[in-house]
Amino acid sequence: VVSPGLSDLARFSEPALLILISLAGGPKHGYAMIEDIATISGNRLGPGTLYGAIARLERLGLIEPLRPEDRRRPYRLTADGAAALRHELAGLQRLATAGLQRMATS
Amino acid sequence: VNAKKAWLLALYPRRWRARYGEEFLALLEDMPLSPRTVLDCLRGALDAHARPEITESPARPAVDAPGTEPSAETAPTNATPRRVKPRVPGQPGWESALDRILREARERGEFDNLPGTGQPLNLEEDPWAGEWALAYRVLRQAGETLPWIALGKQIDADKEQLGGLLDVAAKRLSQRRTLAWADDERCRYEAELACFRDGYLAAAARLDQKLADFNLQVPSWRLQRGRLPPHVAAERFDAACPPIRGPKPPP
Repeated sequence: VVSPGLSDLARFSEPALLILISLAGGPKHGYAMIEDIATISGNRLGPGTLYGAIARLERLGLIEPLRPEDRRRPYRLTADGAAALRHELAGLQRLATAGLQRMATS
Repeated sequence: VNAKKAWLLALYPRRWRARYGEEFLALLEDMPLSPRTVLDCLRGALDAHARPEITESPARPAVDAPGTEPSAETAPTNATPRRVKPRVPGQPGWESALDRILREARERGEFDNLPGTGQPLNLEEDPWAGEWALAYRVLRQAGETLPWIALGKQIDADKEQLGGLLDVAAKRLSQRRTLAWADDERCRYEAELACFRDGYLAAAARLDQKLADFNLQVPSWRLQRGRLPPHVAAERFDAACPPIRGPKPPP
């Protein structure tokens, strides 16, 4: 697997995953990401955390900037980003399945 | 633009601001500035200083509009990445990416005539910054200081001044005290004592107000400082400059 792992991002790995999930629904700028992520996860990211994760994702080539609209710059998922997200979510699904099975049998 | 929000942006390194500053400020304008937001930005700024490589983005040009696929002109970097001849680490001629960046910058003369060239390193720390010493150093190097750190300095100066005031009062009053056996001298002594006492207590109250402000501003309770309530200040003054005991002189 060549897709860069989000786990290298330390405290930014969770916000980074949330951003990828948010952008999977279409390009968004910072504030729209925060609102969207708050809706789907109940987790409201601060601006410093959001941009710490955005800078890392952009550097890894998982997201890319679009032309700013009225100073607010939208980002979108790249093909690499979509692959990394799929990989990450499959891992989480395996984890959830294993956990739920154990809960059911114990 | 709200000055506080511009100030938060100013905490970030120059190169970070050049890349994300505009959109970051636009984002801050869309939200209220809570203490949590400020702290989050502060942590983000410290991270950006500690990890400057995160802004070394592969300089991709912004794509025209959402929804359109990147055209051939906008993504040439992906198609034909410029390959550096691979060399083996440890072998002569091998150069890490970081070494190369530094060498190229040196060759371009970017390290020449920097401020402070040839001068000894200034390693002095601010011991009272405690666990915030690193944060403070980063901020100071960025030309900033936090309000509570500046207030802490002021409090230190005020404390020293207050101690000095007490010394002067004690010295002067102890001279007068030896003469205070006569009634009129005693009156003079008590008038001067009252004058010093009022001045000292007023200064102590101002200092205590600053301590209260300081304790509200510091980011951790461990950095809070002891207050100087009026009765403690009064006890301290009366111990250094005691009133004369015994019967009051007849009016």
